[in-house]
Amino acid sequence: MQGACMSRGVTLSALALTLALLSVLACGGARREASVPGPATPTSPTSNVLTATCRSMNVGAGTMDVITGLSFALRVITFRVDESTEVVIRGERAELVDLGPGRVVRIQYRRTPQGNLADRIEEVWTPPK
Amino acid sequence: MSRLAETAGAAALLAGLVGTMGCYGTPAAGNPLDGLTGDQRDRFKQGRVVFNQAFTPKTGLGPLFNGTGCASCHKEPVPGGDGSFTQLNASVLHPNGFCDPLADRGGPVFQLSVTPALKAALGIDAEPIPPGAARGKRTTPDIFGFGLLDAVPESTILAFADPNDADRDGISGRVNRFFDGRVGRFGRKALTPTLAEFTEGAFHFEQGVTVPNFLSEGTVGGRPIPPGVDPLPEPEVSAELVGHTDAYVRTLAPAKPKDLDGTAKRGQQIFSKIGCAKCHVPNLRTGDHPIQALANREFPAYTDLLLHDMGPELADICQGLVATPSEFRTEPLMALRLARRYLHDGRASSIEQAVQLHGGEGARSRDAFRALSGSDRKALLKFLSAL
Repeated sequence: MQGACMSRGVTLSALALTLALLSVLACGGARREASVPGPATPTSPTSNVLTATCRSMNVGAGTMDVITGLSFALRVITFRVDESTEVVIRGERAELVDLGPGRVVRIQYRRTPQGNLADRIEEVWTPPK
Repeated sequence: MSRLAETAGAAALLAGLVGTMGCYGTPAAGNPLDGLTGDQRDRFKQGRVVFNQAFTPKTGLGPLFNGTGCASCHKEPVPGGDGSFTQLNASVLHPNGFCDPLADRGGPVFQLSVTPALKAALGIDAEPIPPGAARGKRTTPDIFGFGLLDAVPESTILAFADPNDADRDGISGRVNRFFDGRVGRFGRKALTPTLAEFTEGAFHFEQGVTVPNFLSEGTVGGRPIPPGVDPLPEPEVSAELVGHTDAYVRTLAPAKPKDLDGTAKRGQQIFSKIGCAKCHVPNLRTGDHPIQALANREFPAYTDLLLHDMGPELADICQGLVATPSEFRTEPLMALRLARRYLHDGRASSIEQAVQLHGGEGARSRDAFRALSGSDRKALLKFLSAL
């Protein structure tokens, strides 16, 4: 049975290879279209809200790094935090130092010439203990 | 189109044809779900072309990558199946419990290949992993039926969770969470919340191809990509092609289990009796879905999509906001009979060995398996081999 299947497979493989080669020749245009990357699109207007995970805080420098991304494609984004930034934990005003790595925060921010400036940072999830 | 792409396309077409003809005994593997509309089937076919496509540096590959296309890894016995490639992940678990995915150093997936231009610029063959990081190997999973897993309501997963083992059965499932706090379900540690993200993200972290929802090419181990190494504008693949690929993966049918004979049916009962079904939940039900073929459908998933502690022997890396090194998501057993390597890192070469290597929350069922009579054990393995 296995031998018959293999024999049939060899015959069919030859047929399939022929078909595949013909299809490459005949459909080259269509397949080329699929293989060429799409045209570059302008960067979307940046949202001023990001939900991400605190990675580290540098209180002295007034910055906070967060982790964000798409599935396993991740990156770190740095936000500036100044005296006008509102930090909220469990509905109450807090300080940057009260946040910690691994906590999920919702950041309202603005793009400035000096980088992303956080207007409000609200903790929305804390890791289980 | 490059020769590489043409060759890969021909090989994929060949594999698809041979697979469809039944030599692998997989009537459904690689085919679309039953009940799709004509338009949905067209999108499946369009997506299959992209899935089988091989990228080159000129079309966006790299500069770091693991495979040249989806089907360069997901290829056995047909596109969408598993493969022999093993991915490398790394992370650092800090004493305060924070799991650093090394996102600033190129993590958590560290690519094992580089383009000729990057090699010429930096003299490396793979992305460097920071010293001291824990490493975890991940085999290529088959993706048959992933659209059904995606369509299971989150409330179902949350209802299975028992983080404190309140019912005292020795099984405590926990949900993992992505970096924005959403519940994860895809990946060996359930990091990724949705199939759409899993598919689009893979273009980036497996092929080095930038996508509309992740435009940054990233770094090479934390260092900027040298000028001129990857001059293509972002995104390197369009939203349209990502959409086609998503449609293909989403509507790829689960591999149909073999019909169970009397022995295998007895094995199915033993599967439940010794507690395997507490985590490998036999049937899940999808919720409402815009694709009718995915809506309100019960299917044999054999997973609860939760994290379980599998013991220190299997432990490797932490991942996401919750998963500790020893926690893994219950692996769906759909298409188990097509697998050639077992467990997250492929260390088991047979289903029986995989069962024997269960620890932690799986130890009780493993011990019950060991205590079975020879014929009962054979019956259970026959059942599993039919999935």
